[in-house]
Amino acid sequence: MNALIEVIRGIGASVIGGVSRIGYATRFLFTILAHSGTSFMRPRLVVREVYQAGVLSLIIVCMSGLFVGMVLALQGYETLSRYGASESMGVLVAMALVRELGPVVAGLLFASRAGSAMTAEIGLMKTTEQLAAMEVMAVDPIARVVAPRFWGGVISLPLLAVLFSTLGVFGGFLVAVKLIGVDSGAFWSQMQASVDWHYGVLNGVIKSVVFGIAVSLISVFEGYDADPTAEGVSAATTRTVVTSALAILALDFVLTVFMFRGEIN
Amino acid sequence: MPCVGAQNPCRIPLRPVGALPPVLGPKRSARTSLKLMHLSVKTPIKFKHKCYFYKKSTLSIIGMLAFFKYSFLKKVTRQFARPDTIIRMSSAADFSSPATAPSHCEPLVELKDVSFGYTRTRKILSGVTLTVPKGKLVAVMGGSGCGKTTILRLLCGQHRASSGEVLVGGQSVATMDREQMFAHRRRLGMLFQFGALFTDLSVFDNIAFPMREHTDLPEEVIHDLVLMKLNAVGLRGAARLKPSELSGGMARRVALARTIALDPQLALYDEPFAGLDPISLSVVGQLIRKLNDALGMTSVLVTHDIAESMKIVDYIYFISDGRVVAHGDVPSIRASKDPFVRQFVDGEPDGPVRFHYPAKTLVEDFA
Amino acid sequence: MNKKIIDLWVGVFVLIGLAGLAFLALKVGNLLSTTEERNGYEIEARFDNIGALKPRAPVKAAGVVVGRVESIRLDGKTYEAVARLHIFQQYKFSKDTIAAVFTSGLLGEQFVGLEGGGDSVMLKDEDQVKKTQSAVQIEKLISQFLFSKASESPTPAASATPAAAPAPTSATGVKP
Repeated sequence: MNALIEVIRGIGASVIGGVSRIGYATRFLFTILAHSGTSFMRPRLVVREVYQAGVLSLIIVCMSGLFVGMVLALQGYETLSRYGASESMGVLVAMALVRELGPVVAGLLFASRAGSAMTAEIGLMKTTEQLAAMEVMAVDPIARVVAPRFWGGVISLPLLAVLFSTLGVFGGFLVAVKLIGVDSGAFWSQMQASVDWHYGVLNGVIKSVVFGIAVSLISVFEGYDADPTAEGVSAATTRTVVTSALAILALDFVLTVFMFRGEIN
Repeated sequence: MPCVGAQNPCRIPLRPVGALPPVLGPKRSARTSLKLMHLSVKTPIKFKHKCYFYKKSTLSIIGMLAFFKYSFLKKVTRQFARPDTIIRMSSAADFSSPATAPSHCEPLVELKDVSFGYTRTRKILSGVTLTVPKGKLVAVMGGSGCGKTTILRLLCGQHRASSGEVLVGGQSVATMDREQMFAHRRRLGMLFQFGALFTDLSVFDNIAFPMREHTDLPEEVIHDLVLMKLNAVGLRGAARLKPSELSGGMARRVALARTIALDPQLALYDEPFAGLDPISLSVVGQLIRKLNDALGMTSVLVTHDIAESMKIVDYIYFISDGRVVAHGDVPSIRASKDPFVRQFVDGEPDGPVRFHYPAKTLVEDFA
Repeated sequence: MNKKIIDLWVGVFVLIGLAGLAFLALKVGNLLSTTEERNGYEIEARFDNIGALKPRAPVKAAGVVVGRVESIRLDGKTYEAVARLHIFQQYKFSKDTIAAVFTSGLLGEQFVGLEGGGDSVMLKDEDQVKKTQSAVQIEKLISQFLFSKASESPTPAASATPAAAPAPTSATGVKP
């Protein structure tokens, strides 16, 4: 009986803890937005973070995009050729990439490549009292350290997602046209006929912007909130990757419901 | 101990200290000020408080322009006034009876019956009262975990005292609003326990950091200023290195240069000697003394290195269990018969500070 | 690393990102069609029922895409659906062209089919297609089939009639 009460108490505590953490993170987001003036007045701060988060993630994102596109084309061929519709491979690859895989997979890669780095960096700055030193120098660490990283992430992820999709389509093209021998004209024309600018491309970009905000917020929040110890930083980094992945997938579902409902009707 | 400047035990020559106008003499400072004035017509430095200029001014443009001329003149006069200030302090700070010295001079920092605890149950400080006079170098000593660092945190406004008053320049730190706290911290330099250098910036950029954040000085002026500060700590040659390429002693000196980057009124040093070899240790110690005198600063030094601090400080407070247990100037501490002071100065393993952590009696534990 | 190099790399990154977006928009999607597709003329066709036709659906003649459905609206007076069709410049159709809503395959998307006539006068910008044929609605087809089947059950031979001419009043029927 006591053990049961303990379990319920534990669940309750973690629920309350989780909810108040979400509240804290939301407050943190507003704090970042309120202190973003510095980032816009001194774009160089943000440029540096775009370099750290975006440019350095370029290779992994592009390579993954290429391979995902190639695999999609190969797997699609299996099914589509059965119905004699292997020309639709372009549609399959492009639709899947632009709408879903581009933003989602790029977001996941970004969380584990750049987000974890952000968390570790800010957490370590906290541990080594660099943030406290800034504060004592009358420099707001949120304005100087956190906000530029946040904006760097928000700018980088949509660009990375677009490149992921582009390279994916190119990979699909390589496999479908060069390897399997689908007619190149049919590949492109079918793709263009089915992928709509608004429903396909634009919604994909909107998704990646939302994921960029979510992942960047989680990364800087976990870093800023990390326990100033070695384990604290390592736990925060892990949490960044796990929470980001969950947030991306959950947000993806919500956004998809909102965005593509109109088209299903 | 007649005066601060004259009783200088340091062997490092006083000349190349990094305070721009005071040590360079009026001629150069006039030139620099003219240069500054000339430049600031093009890129107006925005003023928020009388003597300090800020980049992030929220003042309206009209207010700024109206304020600008007045504040700038004020700043220039302040720069000019600095050498005299030092002379005045060196001659005026004559303590006839050193044991009661602090109360004689105008105090810059006062702690009045201050208590503080991170949690309600466990008190770190309980009823600490201490005074730091202007222009003095005061050490706060005690064993590890006795609340020394907490005192510094209270002074720089990272924590607020749960009771009692923390006054800096006559102003209570606890009641400062955002703007005042900003101004307060702008007048303050703090050296963190392990330096807290920004690891992603070079040595040069570390010292330029507070200047770039708080001033609109053109890059060439910052360049000169930073090299002067680095020269003062003897590391001008290391400007391009990264903090990870420095030895512990060098990193501490760079942090010291960053602490004095904006010529603070009050410098706080948190364990500046921790983990340094004897040579670096005495270099850092003498720099602290020299900078304090040359820049006319007031310094609070938190340390447990009794031998080094006896060489450089003016006055010592001993803290134990969150209380001031003894205080006095260096000769009186040396001569003191107080058992705590004796244990601390002589480094006895057992004494008023117990060797054993509070526990049940041996008989009970081994029963 | 040098600030200049960081700037350069970030610049390259942003540019190729935007180039990727342009690629997705133009080559993968259909934000801007080719110039010959953009140039063209618009005609209107009135249908009793357009079924599930949507804007941007293709307009085909003999299976070749010759244009796109620009917009669809309802005429409040006649309760007819008015579809504006954007026809590419290089295709000309005669005045007596018939426009019909077809379905590609059994369950595929719907498109507008144009069947050229023999008139020597060609359709111009803002012209109306006189003869239209509405979409075939499977529900109506089935219900009519069942209805006639039920009412005419004594004479099974007659049940074939509705299937041959499914909607005598509205569903089909070429308007004059």
